[in-house]
Amino acid sequence: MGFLDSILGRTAVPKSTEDRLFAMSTAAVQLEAAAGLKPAGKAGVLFKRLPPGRFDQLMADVRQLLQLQGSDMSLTVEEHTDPLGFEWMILSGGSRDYQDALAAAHSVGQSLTEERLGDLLLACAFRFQQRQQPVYWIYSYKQASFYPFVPTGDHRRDNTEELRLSAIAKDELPIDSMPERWYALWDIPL
Amino acid sequence: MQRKLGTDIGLTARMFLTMFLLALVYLLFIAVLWRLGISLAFLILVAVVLLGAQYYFSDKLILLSLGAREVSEQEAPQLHEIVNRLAQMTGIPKPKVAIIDSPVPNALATGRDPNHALVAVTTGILDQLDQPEMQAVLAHELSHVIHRDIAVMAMASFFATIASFIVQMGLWGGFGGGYGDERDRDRGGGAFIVIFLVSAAVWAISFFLIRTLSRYREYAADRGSAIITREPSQLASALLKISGRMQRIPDTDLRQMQAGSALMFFPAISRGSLGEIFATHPSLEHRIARLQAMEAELSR
Repeated sequence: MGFLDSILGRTAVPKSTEDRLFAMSTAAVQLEAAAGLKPAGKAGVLFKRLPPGRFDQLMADVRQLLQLQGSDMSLTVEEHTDPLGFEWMILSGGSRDYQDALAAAHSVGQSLTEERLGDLLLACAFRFQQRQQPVYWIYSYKQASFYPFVPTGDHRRDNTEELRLSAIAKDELPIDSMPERWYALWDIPL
Repeated sequence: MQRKLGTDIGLTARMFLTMFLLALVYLLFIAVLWRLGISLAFLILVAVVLLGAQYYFSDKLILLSLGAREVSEQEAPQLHEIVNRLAQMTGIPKPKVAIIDSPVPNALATGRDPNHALVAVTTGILDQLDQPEMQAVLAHELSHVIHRDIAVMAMASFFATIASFIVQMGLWGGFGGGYGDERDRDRGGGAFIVIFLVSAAVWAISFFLIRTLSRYREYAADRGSAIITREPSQLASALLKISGRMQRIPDTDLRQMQAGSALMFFPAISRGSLGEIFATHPSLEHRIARLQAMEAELSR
């Protein structure tokens, strides 16, 4: 809320967190034009430990949703358990602006939130290519904002590039203003 | 084919408008002082003496207060080489080179004109930046020299200094004490109060105009650096490095943060206030975004 809003007593209701995730659908085009980031057509939703059987059910729900939506079925859904024991729902293919992947990620979020399990959602990662190098935009459900992640191999990340990207994308995406919270996702499976 | 960067017409226009408004405020200030019976000759004398002093000595005072030490070519060969090359490229006499012994990364240029210029860098910035980044930073400083920013800002803040001087005199000394009969004293007091109020207004308005002008000159120097080096991204990278933001990005994995207890969030929270302060300071983002746009312009 701005200073003027405070002294005038105007309350602004923050945009719902779901809307913030959808910022990616319009940002993808801009990111390619402004920063040369090409959407790699891969996104992944990262979960904390879900109750037994819940993950399979989510997978089935998302597959059904995609069928219902009649999207051209180019989006595929896969499950992956990473070496740290965390579960990923990996969405690949689909439209270049991540429209289908966003719809899937959103429906997962919605059904978990309805069961009050929303805090089991950790992050949603979107893969981009920049001169043959992978660049990720990570959406943190907890902070309801994005941050860039540019791994350069063996637990190293390019901080200069990350800050540069965040400066470029600040008008397109809600970006986490505290770099302290830009946690890494090493060996990201997408 | 590589393109040349032209002038930023929007920036030039905004800079011109700011300088025009500043001149207007100052002219009104002089007009009020004059109307209230302060001798024009006296005003001009004060202006010439103060402006001259500021023009000739301010750079030396700055260097003295910062503890900058001029270094020879033997002491800092690399630094001299970069400055030498940049001076040749831009066609100005090579400025003197100084080093400030401080871990805080910074660089500055002083000197009233290109013939009396000096660029100073801290030991901190020398440690943090690589050669191309250092060149971009020094090109930014040389742009300040070429644009004569020291002289421009000295002149821009000159009447603001006088106004603040009058305000302070008023606060210390009070007004209205004087000679003569009751009526004269009242009139004198009234005039002084008007001068005091006008000075306060001039001081406040010019404060904002000067800061605006200063920001525009920074953008112009960034642009100058981009034109000289043709590598705006190097300056962007240098700005990010010295901003200290890079050091705050963690290497910790998000999943490890979750596996542990909620207490693991503690360090992030305790450093929160610092983060918020930086978040209210958009100039770094703006500068990076502009440099990025120039990069795109050059590679088109």
